[in-house]
Amino acid sequence: MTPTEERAQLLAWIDAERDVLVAFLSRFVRAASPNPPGDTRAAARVIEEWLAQAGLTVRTIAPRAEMPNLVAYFDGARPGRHLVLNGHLDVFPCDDADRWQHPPWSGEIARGRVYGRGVSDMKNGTAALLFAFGWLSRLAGRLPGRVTYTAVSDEETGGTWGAQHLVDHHPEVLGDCLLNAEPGAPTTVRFGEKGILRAAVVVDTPGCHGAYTHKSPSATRIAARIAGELAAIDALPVTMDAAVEHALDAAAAEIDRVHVRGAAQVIKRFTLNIGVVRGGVKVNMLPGTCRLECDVRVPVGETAEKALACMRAIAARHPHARVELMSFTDPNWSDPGHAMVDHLRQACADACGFSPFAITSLGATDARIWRAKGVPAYTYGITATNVAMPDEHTDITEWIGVVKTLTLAAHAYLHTEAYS
Amino acid sequence: MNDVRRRLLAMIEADRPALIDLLSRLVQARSPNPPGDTREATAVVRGWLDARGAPYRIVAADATMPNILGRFDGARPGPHLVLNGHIDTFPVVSAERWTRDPFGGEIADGKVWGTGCSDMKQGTASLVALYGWLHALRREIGGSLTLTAVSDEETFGPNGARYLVEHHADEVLGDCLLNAEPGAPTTVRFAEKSPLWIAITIETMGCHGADPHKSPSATRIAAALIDDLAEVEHTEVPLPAAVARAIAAGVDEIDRIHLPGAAANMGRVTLNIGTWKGGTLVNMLPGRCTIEADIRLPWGVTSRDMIERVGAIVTRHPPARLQVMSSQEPAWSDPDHPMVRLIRRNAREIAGLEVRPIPSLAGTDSRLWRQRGIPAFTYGTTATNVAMPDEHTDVEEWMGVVKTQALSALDYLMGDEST
Repeated sequence: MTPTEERAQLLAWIDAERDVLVAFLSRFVRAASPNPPGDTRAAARVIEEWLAQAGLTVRTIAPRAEMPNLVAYFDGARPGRHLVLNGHLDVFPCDDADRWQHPPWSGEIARGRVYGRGVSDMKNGTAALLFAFGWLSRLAGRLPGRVTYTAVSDEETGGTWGAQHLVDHHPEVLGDCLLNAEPGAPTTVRFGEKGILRAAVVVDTPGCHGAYTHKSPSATRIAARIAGELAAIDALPVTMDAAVEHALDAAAAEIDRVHVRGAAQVIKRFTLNIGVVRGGVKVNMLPGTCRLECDVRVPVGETAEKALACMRAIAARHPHARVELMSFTDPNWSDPGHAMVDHLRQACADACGFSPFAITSLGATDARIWRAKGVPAYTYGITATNVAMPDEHTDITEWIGVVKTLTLAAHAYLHTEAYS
Repeated sequence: MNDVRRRLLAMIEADRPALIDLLSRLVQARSPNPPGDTREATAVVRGWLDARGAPYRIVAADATMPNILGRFDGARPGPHLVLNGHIDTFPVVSAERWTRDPFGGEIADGKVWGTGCSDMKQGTASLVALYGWLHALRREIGGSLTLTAVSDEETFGPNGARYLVEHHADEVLGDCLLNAEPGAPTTVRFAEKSPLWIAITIETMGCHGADPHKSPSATRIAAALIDDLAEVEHTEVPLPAAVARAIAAGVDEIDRIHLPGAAANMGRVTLNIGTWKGGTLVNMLPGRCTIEADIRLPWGVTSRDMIERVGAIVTRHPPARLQVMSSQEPAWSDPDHPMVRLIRRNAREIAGLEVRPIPSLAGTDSRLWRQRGIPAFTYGTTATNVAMPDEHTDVEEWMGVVKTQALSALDYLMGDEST
């Protein structure tokens, strides 16, 4: 079998097993894994059972028992490149089930879609990479190199017990290149991502009875004032690498199309999200504490420190306020000219008939954790449909195209010499 | 001083250690509201009444929120005085900032310490004790005395005093109400501002926190709305003359006991954003946010006008919806009522204090009587650290208040203002 015949065989398997794939995704969604609290054991079991049935060995690495990480690999027939596939098991929580048309943990299949919390972000991607891993393993006797599959926990809350733990303690998962399947759009390959600053503005005052408003400043009212002033972060000036800016401008229309109008601008600037507000205990008590948890996205070329300095300067104007740094990641990116980008573009052209743009992404993925260790990392996935919104779903036809693209690109990467 | 008054004072002196112990045990029997389960604290009150053979029964709309209702008649017909205190307390605030155990009921430095000690377990203890003492003297006094020790006050809930005045009006309204909420022993309160509680809910689509162009942010809209709500504090207030006079006469004392700024706050609308909650996770753009506000209305402002004004502000922020949680009208009683005169005279006699009739900033259950046309007065200890860490009650001051309340109640029942 030549590499070309192998590609044909892979595509034939994907088409033949389409229904199996869809049923698997539905089952995977039903294994609810909201984070917080982040217990992914049920979801991990679904993956483990599939790997066991496929005759593949899986290792569980669980620095926290309820947050297992799965690692599986196979070696090809001869030495070569080591490709690592990465997806996550945990999903966003769901506190608005009443607003869904399709129950959030049902994995319902309707109108050519699979519905459920986390199906788009990113159980579809974790499943796609699992199947790609399985199909490629059937060709292990013919392929060069090694493929490692990682399905991790704790992605939605920062990755400490998930991908970060793996790369820090199990360097065998680093490999030569990472392929991640977070949702975005099948028309884009993401070679970089914005940085993230997470920090809380905490306002502490003595507090008192709510009728005695002259006795203590109000933590909630000060916090509301600060929340308004924090809009300055949205307007921070941005210096961007010319090549990156050029790539983003070239893809602007596509970015706006897939991520909703405005995304092309958002990708290039600082954005502020006041994700959580907690102030006060009771309506008739004047609150002595209010906490604003902020998530600032930092454009490629800028630093989280710049946003933090802005936040601190604003807090400093208010004697009762202080900033608590929760975490930060500077923006990061890999070479847009790497072979994997070409393989993904070519695979997509072959499987779906269009060629994706190389862009940076709005959201953060675990790809950044590999980039931080010097491993080139790329993200390719389906359209992010209703992520963190009611009726999150995955379009099956689009997904199958992505499954093919990921599988063919992975295959091509292992054969890089043959293709170059 | 006549014999009955002397005997009453002697009973108080004899019971002083027992009374301090009662307060300490009441504080230990925690009863934060919410959730408002007062059964343990009610049992402490019942123990006191049972030991003294004072009659009462339990009236409970909610089994976890019992109310104590007791009554006895004196030897001859006369005025019907009603005593009212509450058993529930605020939830403990900032436990980490307390230097004492918030539920320890510790007796130290001449004070009793703990959550709800000042607001108002000290007052409830003193009225319960007063009911027992006057019951022991019942053959020598006139009129009728009713005790109401209620639950569900802190949230102005339906299961406490409100339940009693709505379902047992003939028993609990009486001719005059004496309430013992804390304030200051130099003031008797004849009126109170009226709380208007509103909830504002903001709903947007919500989305991933990295995509702020996809949905308006419920928390950021809320922040802007909170700023706008400050406008209600500038509402023009046509104060009734009697109330305005009392405030003007009491300015120095009001600002002394409630800190500077209190007298000014009495005559104007105040806004407290009591809770502000939104979002689930820092990296999700929140699609839901709620604000609960406590607006205090002075006399001359109606809740309807205020609701309209708030509604107009909320309308400026389309995803926001206004809900009125509770509203009522500010009311006041005659600042020259006989009970006021008795309290002033007895405080002077017992503690050497000059007492001024003033309105109150905070709400008490007294309003429920006032709104039904019953003159209602509040007289109590200094509110020390209410809803703050290290809430406490000074024992010496409290004893003066206990005696003043007791003599005033006795004098009122005797129909005797000349003693």
